Formats: sequence, C-alpha cells, structure tokens
Amino acid sequence: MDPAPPHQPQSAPASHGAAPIDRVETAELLARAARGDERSWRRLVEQYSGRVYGLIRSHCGDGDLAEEITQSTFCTVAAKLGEYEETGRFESWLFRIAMNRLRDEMRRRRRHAAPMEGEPLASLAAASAGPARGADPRASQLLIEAIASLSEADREVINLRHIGGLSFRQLAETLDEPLGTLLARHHRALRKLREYLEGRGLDADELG
Amino acid sequence: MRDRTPRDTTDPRLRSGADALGPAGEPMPADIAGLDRLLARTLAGERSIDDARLARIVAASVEALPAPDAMPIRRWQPLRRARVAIAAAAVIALAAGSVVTLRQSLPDRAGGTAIVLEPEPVQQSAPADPTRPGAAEATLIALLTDADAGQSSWIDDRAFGGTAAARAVAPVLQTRGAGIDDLFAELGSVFGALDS
Repeated sequence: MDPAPPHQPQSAPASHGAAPIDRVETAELLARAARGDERSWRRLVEQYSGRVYGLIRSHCGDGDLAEEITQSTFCTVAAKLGEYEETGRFESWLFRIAMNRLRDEMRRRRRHAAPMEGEPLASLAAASAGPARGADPRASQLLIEAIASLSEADREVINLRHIGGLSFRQLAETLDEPLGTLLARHHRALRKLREYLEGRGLDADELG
Repeated sequence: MRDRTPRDTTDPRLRSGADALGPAGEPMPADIAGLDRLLARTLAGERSIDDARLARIVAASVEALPAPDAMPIRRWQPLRRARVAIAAAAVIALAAGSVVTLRQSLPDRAGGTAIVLEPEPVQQSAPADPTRPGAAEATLIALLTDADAGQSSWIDDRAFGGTAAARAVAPVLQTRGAGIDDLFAELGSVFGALDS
C-alpha cells in the first residue's frame, strides 16, 4: 500500500458547524492569532474544538473532563502560538498536545483512584451523540461496543482517525510512529472490529 | 447542538472495492474499506461540542494569546545588514571609549604618548655635590692621575706658553675629541685666569 496519500483533502472537517477551512486559510488564521487577533483565534477554536473534545470524550467518557482537557489543550496552543511556525502540521501538533493532556490526566486519576474496568464501553455509549443520520442504529450500537472492546492503543488509532479526522500521515506525526507501523496498527484494529461484528451477524462490508 | 460536517462518504471512489481510497483520499485495503466507511459514518456524530462549552473554551484560551500589536509597524525587525552595522558601531564605540578612559587615567600625558609600559632606563651616576668645597680641584686631580704618562702631548708650548695648567687639561680635551683651535679663545681666558 502506498503510504503517500494521492488525494489530500482540500479542507479539514469542521467541528462546530463552521465552514471548513483549507490549509492556506488555517495558516492565515494562525498567523493573525499569533499577533493577538481574537477573532481569528475564535475561528480556529470553532473549527477544531469539536474534534478535540469528541476525541477526548470518546476516551475518558466524561463530558466535563473532556471539556477541561480540551480547554487546557487550547490554552497551551494559544500560549505557544507565538513560537509556532505553520508548515502544514497544525492538526498533528494540536492533537498531540490533546493526547498528551489526556494521558497525563488519566495517569493522575489512576494514581488517585482505583481503575474501573469496562468504563470506556459504558461511557462511550452514554456520551455518544448518537448515530449519524441514515446509519443503522443497531449497527452503530454494535460498532460502538466493538470499539470499546479494543485495546487502548487500537482505540486510539480508530478515534484519532475517525473522530479527530486525521489522515494516516497526520496520525503518524501525532503518535510519533513510522507510517508503516501506523498503517499496520490501523489494519489490525479494523480486522478485530470486523471479527467482532461478524461474530454478531453483522456484515460491515454491506453496511459500509 | 449543531449538525456537524461528516466526511463525504458518497464519493464513488470510496465504494469502488479493491484498493479503494479512504476518507482522506488514502489507499485502503479492500478487506477493511467497507468497515472504514461504516466507522466514518458512525463516529462523525462524535465530533461535536455544544455552544456553552465552546464559549467557555474560547474565553479561557483567548487569555493565553500573545498580546496584540497596537500598530503593525511597532514590531520593527532590522535587516541583517543593519544589524551587522549596529553591532560594528557598538564595537567601535566601545573601543574608542576604552582608549579615552585609559588616556585620562594616565598621569603623564606629555609628548602624546598613550601607553607607557615602563620608564626609560636611566644611567645612574654617582651622587655629586657641586657645593662641596674643593670639588672642582678633586675632579681635576683625578683626571690628571688617570692620564697616560707615556702619551705624547699635543699641546703646543708656543701657543700656550707651556704652562702647567695647559699640560694639565690636555688629556681632558684629548679624551673629549675637541679640537684645540675650536676652544682656543675659551681656553686662553681660562688659563689666563688660572695664571693670574
């Protein structure tokens, strides 16, 4: 499989109902925000906060905690914006900060409280905004259960890709892994999901 | 809660079977392409945040933004050449200041010499006291004693009259290399005074 994406999307998926912005506009917004322009910063937060928040919530299962971590992430980005030079890797940088914040918080919580097995499954289902329009509710529910059954590392790849909206290349940059390793991890995670779904009589290929 | 913008999964390339392209236009193995599309559609709804949370995140993070520039021209960035020129000027000014300070701190500024590391070596002579009685006589006697007794005299007896005084100063004059004709008048007056 050729790791180089032949067709990069022209714009990132928008988070908050805002019109998607392309890379050029992202770079302009970042430059203006770095000079203290609040409107540009607001536009950037509107663009990316939903994806960051959704990703964090899918991992921790707590809306308030996800908001806290998302807020911390954007505060860090804002504070470092003056030093940041946009080379088309803003999303990788943003999601790397978010994932580091999440790991730190999870580690801190594990130190102070007993781990709760099975929580991600329940919390993901409870926190889910519900299946997208036109999706089979049963298939969606089974898929969420299947994701929750994955290891944390596999779930991380799935969520970063489909909730964070990152390309494989961005995923590799975010997780600081070789692209080939990342592609193998993704492929392995999806095969596990397919086995899970097929074991419950669901044909993912037909649904997809 | 607003509706989000999911990836465009209606793209026919995503449904083309083997080696289909993924949501980001990436190649996708056929055995997982369908599942990947199902995931994209199902999880797209997770990319959401309500307005209240968004407002709080914006309000908190906007405080961390760098301070805005009041005027764009305030952020002056000198060119590389200008920076080099400024640095060179600073070095020259520093050197000039050092020289001026050093000159002012020197006690002797005569002759325009800026730096004197050590004084010129001076030949030390025996302390002489010209006011001591008989000093001139003692010097003359010393000169006469050191004179070579075997050396032939260049004194012209006819010119000086062969006086004892003329014979006495002859070795001194000879030593200093002075011609007798050059000092004839002066010697004559001196000898005259001695004879008297």
